[in-house]
Amino acid sequence: MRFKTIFTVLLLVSLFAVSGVAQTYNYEEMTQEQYNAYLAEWQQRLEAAQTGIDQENAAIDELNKELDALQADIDGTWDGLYAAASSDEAGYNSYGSSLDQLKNEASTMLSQSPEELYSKMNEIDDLQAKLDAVKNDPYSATAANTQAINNVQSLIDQAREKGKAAIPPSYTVVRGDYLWKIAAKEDIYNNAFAWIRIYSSNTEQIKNPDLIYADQVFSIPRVTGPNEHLVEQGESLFSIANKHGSPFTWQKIYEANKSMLSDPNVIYPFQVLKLQ
Amino acid sequence: MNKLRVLLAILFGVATISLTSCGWKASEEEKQQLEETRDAALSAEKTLADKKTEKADLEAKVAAKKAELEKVKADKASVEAKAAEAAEADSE
Repeated sequence: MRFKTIFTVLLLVSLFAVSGVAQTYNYEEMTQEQYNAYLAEWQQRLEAAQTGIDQENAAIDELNKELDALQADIDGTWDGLYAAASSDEAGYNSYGSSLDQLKNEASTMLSQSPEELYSKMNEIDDLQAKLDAVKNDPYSATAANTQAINNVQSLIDQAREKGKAAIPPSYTVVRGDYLWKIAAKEDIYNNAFAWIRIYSSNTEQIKNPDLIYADQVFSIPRVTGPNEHLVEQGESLFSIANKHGSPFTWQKIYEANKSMLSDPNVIYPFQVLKLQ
Repeated sequence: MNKLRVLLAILFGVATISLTSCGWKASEEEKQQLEETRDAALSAEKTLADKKTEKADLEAKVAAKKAELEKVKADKASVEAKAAEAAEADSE
């Protein structure tokens, strides 16, 4: 312990001595020439630094002036922007707040389960209507607001897609329904021309597509099975057969779907054909 | 004669010793001047370094403000176009 204290004291003393040597001159051994040289060197450094300070001060003054002028330009441009929208700064801020609120609503919506979202599709539609109204405001054109609008739109789209996952895979016919009307429903296919898909997927129940009955339960396929093909615009049995192996097997496809196809040359988009 | 030689030798010795021991030494005023000049130079150099930092900061601020101005100008042009589009749609 004593050794440690002595060592610390010695170290401090030696450090002090070294720093003292580094910071002060040894005037006892200094010649006049050395003195003059030191003095001249420090005077020169002082003069150079003062010149540099003057130059930097001038540059700083210029920069401050430039900064003030730029700020004035920016303020003026903002005023012009508000005027273009027939509004003011408060109006712009209010617009930003409404976007934030929409974003919060969309985020909250997206955090719900697919089943909840499916049951609240009308609320998603309302949210979309609000966003569409906001998109018409001139303030929507600024880069920041465009970005914010795109973010909200993305959240709404995601919520809608998430809700679709809960769409039931079947549909119970109610009085007044017909295949065209059912297919056109947003949560079915959202396309009236897809009625034929319902028909071709439920041939056991639907003998005549013009005759369906209340309380019939139709399957609403969302994907095609491994042995099925969903007909697209412009396709023929020949091209479908070609897509699934050989064009010359078209007759097999026709045979497999003969109950639905009266003429092998006439097939319709959205028909679901069995491949074997 | 010998005494004279001894005396001259002693005088020469005394003169030599006095000449070597009486070299130039900085006065207190000179010491103070050197120390003060040195301190002033070091202080000025530190001030210069600070000024350079301040200038660099201001240059960065000016660059940021220029970018901000360009962005606001672009936003203003977009808002004007959108407002004109809305006005045209209203008139139709």
